[in-house]
Amino acid sequence: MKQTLTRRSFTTGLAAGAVLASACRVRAQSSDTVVIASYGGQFQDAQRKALFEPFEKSTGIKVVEATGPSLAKVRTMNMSGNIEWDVAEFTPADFLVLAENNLLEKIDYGAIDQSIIAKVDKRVVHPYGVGALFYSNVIAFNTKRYPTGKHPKSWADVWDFQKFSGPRILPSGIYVVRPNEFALLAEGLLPQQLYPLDLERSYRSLSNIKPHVVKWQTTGAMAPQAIVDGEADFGMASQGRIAQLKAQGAPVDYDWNQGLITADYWGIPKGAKNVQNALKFIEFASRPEPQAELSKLIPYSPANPDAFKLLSEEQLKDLATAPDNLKKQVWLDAGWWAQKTNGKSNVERNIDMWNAWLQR
Amino acid sequence: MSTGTVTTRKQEGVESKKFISDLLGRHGFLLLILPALLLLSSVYGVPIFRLLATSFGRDEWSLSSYKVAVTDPYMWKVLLSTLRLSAEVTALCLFLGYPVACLMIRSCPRWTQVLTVLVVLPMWTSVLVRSYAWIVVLGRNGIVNQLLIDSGLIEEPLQLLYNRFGVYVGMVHIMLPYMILPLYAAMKRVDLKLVDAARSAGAGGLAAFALVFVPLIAPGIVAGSLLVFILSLGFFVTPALLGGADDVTYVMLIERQLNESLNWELAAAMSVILLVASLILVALYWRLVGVSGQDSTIRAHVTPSWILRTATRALASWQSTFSFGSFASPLVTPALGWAVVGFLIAPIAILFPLSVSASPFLEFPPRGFSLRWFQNYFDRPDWIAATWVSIKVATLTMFAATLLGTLAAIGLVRGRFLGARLAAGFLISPSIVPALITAVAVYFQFAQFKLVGTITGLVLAHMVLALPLVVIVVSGALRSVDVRPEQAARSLGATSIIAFLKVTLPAIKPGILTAAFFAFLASFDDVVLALFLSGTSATTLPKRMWDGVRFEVDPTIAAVSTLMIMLSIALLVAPQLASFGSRRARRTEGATTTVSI
Repeated sequence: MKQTLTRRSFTTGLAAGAVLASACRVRAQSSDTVVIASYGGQFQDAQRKALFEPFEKSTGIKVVEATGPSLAKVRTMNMSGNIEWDVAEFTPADFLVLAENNLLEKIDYGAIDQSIIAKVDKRVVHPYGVGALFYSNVIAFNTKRYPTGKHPKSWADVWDFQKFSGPRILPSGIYVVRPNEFALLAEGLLPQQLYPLDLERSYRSLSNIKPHVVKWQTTGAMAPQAIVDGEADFGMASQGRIAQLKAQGAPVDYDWNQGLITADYWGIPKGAKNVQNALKFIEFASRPEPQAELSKLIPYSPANPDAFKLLSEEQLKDLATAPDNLKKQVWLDAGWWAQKTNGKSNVERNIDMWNAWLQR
Repeated sequence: MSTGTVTTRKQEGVESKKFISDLLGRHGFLLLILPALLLLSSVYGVPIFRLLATSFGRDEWSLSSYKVAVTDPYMWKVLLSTLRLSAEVTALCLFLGYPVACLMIRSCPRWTQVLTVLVVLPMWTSVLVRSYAWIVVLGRNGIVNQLLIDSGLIEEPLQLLYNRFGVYVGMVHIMLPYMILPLYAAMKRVDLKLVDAARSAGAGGLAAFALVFVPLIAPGIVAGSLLVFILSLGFFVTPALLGGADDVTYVMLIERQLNESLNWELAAAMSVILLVASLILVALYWRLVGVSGQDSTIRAHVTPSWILRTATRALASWQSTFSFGSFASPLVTPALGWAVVGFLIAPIAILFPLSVSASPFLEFPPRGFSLRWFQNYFDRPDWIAATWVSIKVATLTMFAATLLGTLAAIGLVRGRFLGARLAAGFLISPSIVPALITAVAVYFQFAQFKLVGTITGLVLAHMVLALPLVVIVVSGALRSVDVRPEQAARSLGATSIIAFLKVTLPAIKPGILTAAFFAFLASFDDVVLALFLSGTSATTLPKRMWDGVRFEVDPTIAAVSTLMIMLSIALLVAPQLASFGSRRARRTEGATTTVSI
């Protein structure tokens, strides 16, 4: 179809433009670079120090950064034929849908140092990607408004606007972290009752809290920002970002209870221009040393357990995978999100449901 | 346009000069327009045409996308609410812009100049920077809420952001100058003695105002209102950043269809619907106001009476509400005018203290003093790289657009040929097409030619934004130039080219310089096209800032905004200072007004 379009409206002017363009190509696609997409802000700052810069130093491959990986973004790139990213960190549900829809390159494990991959947590080694880290999305709050101890301690508390007044921030249905699990936990569902998700019920639950939600976040930085500057009193945020801001003296804190724990994956979009460099990066990012460095800068949990040995007791205590924290949290079931109903994955079905719900 | 060749010079010299001038005479003006026409056709005309084609199905012809776009109740709701939002913003701008225009007309020339700079300054500041500033000002712990709480007026902070109110504030702030300048231009042409005459003849203040003054400034009201309305239809950045989940505009819905639902046919069909709506309004605008605005006084006579009546009623109610019936009350109107000017400047001024905050995250009031965020900006390769991309792209765009646009303007103003009006219309048409639609169309085209993520692609796309501005400003300058000196030079033996280069070109130089400034800023400030075309390898500064607003917590973006504002102020004030009170200042100001009309 792309070809027919080209023929339909090919003009000499454009041909000239194309020639000009190939002459002036920016060197980003040359073999000495790799384009890495992640989630921006403090998190990507930490990745830059712990992963990207050391990778550049050790391999001589220049890292070009991008932000905001999502299923839709990769699909758009695929349709337009312009694959901008070489490797991206994907949340698990988006990752599985991408893998099942043939939108990722299969990982050539033959090209990667086997001794490194062998050490990575088996649960997150996948034919189409390698786990980057474990993390949790938790209840976060502004301590000026709700001092630690008097804060909302469960999603039912977050939904209880009589007990806890003030604006909340929750994830949008089009964001890579979805609000549905939290809405159902707020309804009192136990972790083992959560999946398969009753999406209809989750939207009824969201309707109850909608008037008290000041913003539906679509990036990882929105919730920390809103809670720090008091735009929201509490809500859902990624634990590492909140912990880091707390350490810097911001009036924020979080609760592990009912946090939704999962892992992100490094994946290579189908048709990426620098697949070999992307594989080299995945290999590098799976080593224990950079993973430990990252955890020191922002307390996310390494996917390679060897990295734990490089962290102090104090640092281990802050991680989502620490046994004391683990027992308070709920595991996200990415497999359910990737399941298809009538040919559409639950991820995509939920986007339609979200858009319809917003209009009500 | 033939040259008188009375000369005693060498025969061959005359021959060749005669050949060139004959060529110029017959086809020259067409040749002058050709480069601009070709460029705009390939990077804008063809993509827009293809968008039209895509809307009828990508594989085979079908009307199904239009059927969805027209029958889907939600899309209708959003289209109607976008029209309503535009109308409300227009009304608010008229209400708030009027006292400022009054203030400008009543002030002495020196103050009028100051006011003009203050009104124009926000136009020169990135839309993104201003939206970011409003987030800081209107936040729950923002300045407005803190002032209200400290003064004891309220106990709980008001929700001013992420709802319709935030969108109003952001949009009105951006649109106000587009209303004030045409109003001011219209008022300047009115002989205020007519109003005094009406009053001395016994008319009450309100009657004199409604029956004499309003009809006289009607062209300005119509011009400003339609302009604001048309531009408001295409808003994307402001509602996306300041609105809530319900504040969806039609272009946001188009972007969503494109990037989230991946329904390109539907996105194309919706773009065409919006484009047609805009074109209808522009046709109305041209019928009522005229392209150049020069013959607007004549056009006022054909202004439909209902528009006049509505405008009269609106302004009359304004007068009776705030001025207690007396025409342009000496106290109330200026006070309101200054308040509105304060509103225009405040969000820009507020970023300065934030950018020197020592706090690791954005908070108000800022804690301590530190230049760490400027330091961070200069230390970070991604910010610096984006800055260089922007400077490169804007500079290349400026030179290319100024050259092609000036040539085209000369051809359009001096040439008499078939289709001149059509060519002029085509050359300035990108200025009324919502940027997001241009971006969508260009993106599809450029993706195929691997132009996404290249400097070349960005320059070509930004030419679409910059060319119309150059054509408008330079044709304006050319039209106002006296042609007699050039004719005199020709009668003394100079060829038409030499006469033009030696006599007329120096006279329009300020206009060309102004056009170049506009071209530079159009490129330097663009977010929407860059959002689609930057890719990862040619990220511009506004694209980097857009990511910053959405992905980052630290005040680096406040520091970057401060630097951008300082650049704008430097670009804006430098020529004003250099030529304070001189003739050139008046011309620059005239050009500014032309562009905004």
